[in-house]
Amino acid sequence: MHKIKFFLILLIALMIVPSLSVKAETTSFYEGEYIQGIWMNKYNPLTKTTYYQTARFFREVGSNDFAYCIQPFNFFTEGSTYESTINHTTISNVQRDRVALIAHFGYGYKNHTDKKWYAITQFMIWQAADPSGDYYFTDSLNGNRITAYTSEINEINNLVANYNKLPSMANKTYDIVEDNNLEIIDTNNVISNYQTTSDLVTIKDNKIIVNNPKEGEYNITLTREDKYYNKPHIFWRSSTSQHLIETGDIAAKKAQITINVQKTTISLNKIDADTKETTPQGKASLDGAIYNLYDENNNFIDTLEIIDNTAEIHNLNYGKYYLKEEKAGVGYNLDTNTYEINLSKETPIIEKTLENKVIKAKVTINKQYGDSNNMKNEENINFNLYNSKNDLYKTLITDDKGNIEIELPYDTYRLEQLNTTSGYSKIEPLTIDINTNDDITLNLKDLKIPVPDTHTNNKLLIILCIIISLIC
Amino acid sequence: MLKKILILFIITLLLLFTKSIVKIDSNKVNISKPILINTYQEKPIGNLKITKIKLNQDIYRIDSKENTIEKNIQILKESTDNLIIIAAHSGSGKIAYFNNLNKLLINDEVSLTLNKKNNTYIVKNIWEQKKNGYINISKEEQDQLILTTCSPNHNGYQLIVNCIKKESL
Repeated sequence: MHKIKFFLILLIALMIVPSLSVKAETTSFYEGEYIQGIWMNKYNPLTKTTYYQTARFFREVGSNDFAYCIQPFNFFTEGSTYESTINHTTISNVQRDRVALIAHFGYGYKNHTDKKWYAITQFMIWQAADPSGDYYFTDSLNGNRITAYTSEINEINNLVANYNKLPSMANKTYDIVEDNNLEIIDTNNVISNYQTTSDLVTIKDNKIIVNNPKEGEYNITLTREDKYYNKPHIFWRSSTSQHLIETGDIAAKKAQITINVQKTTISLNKIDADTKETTPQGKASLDGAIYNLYDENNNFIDTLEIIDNTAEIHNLNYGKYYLKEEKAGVGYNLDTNTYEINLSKETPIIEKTLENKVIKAKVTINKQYGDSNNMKNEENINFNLYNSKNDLYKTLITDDKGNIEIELPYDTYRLEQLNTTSGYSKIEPLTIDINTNDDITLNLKDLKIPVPDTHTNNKLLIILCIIISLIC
Repeated sequence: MLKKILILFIITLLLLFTKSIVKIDSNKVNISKPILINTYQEKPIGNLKITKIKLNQDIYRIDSKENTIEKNIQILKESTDNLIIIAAHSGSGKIAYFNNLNKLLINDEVSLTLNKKNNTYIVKNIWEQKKNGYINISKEEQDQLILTTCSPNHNGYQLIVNCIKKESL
């Protein structure tokens, strides 16, 4: 049973294999109609022979499709068998490509319908296929050399050159930032002939537009296809006659571009300049600080507000930026520095630690006692200083001059006197508000003022009452 | 019976005329020196007005004989430009100008005119301290006016009213 199966498989394989083998197509050509009024000469410098002819079509037997000679100094032998070839060996690859392009853009292409275009195309194919020869138009059969069809030749040359021209962005790598669109202009002005299947880019007019890119590396293929004839061009070779090319579409042209999409981040961290910590001093706040971001031309870009000691901005384009504090957090002095930031593909993430100096004031307390006209400095007087949270911030003691000096950060403080010179009262608790950097001086004076006895004198009344009582 | 009626009459008279007795005493100098009355009678340099307790009393120069609590309200000599201390009697009688000082409350207004310059003060705090011939006060940063008298409520205590100039608040 297995043997039967094996035999059947082998039989099928043997039947299929011959049909998979490449079979070269064969055909034959004939010399077709003349193109009246156009004469051409060919001069072979090797044999020093000049060939002259009236321009004439080559056509395929059967289809009557036209073809061009690509061996200008070989003879055409009618009835010869031609077979198609992919790798034409009598001319180089460069010549083969040019010949194919001239044939493509020559006679039959768009408005090149006049038969003169066939003659011009053939003329140009000779020049491309064997540049050693001298080819020229004449004013009659084997007549005088003339310069003719220059503009038509130029037009075909331009079409060929344009086809060979790749878009200026071909084989280049572009580094861009996520969510930032990019327009790449084709300085070769050919991109409009290309197409792409990529969703990332669109081709519009003379540029490629990269839309809303997300992080990643993208290889974009740009393809130019010119399917004008809906059949491929074919080189025909024959062992007994000159080789020919039959006009058709040319191979698609491809170009690659690479787009690297990166994320960028500018991250700000806010700290207190004195403590180098994120905790603000006193009742000040590092949060709420506002920074303005400008580009290198000083155009405003965005605002960043410090919240929870940080602020971030994402996906700004590469470039140089300047950061300036517009508003400091409550209780902090404005940072007047300007910070430069360079975002690049090498440095897509920038972290900056920014500092603010808390509003701070020097407070000088002078404690005195006495009457208003004779004051003395009060030494060793203790004060408790409480902050706005009612926490004891510091205990202060007057020196021999009755002075205390202290630097206090932004806050509201309560100063309470703890002891006093005998016979003198303590000052009432007082509030010290630090909301500017201006120095504060407090002159605290406890006064002991003699006062007269302010009770009304009713002695007379009392004496009279005593007298009357005695009389009674 | 007649005696009792007489005693009652005398007491009534005394009670009625106590104020005028003081007044008479204070005018004694004037009576004994009638010619000088007009010559040396001083003009006040200002006045203290406390609408709330219906007080509107003249003030005399510190070195004036009129500047005494026995006649008027008195500016104490310890006063300075930014600390003015005024004392007056309380209790009974006409010179008890500060009899109702204890009715002042914090934030009440006190008007003081000195040398034609009027300033309004706001009562900042009020306290009492045991009488010892002195009052203890703290000199504040702002201009102060201290009013003091015997406490009408607590025998043996001194009432002190600390006022701050309104425009310096």
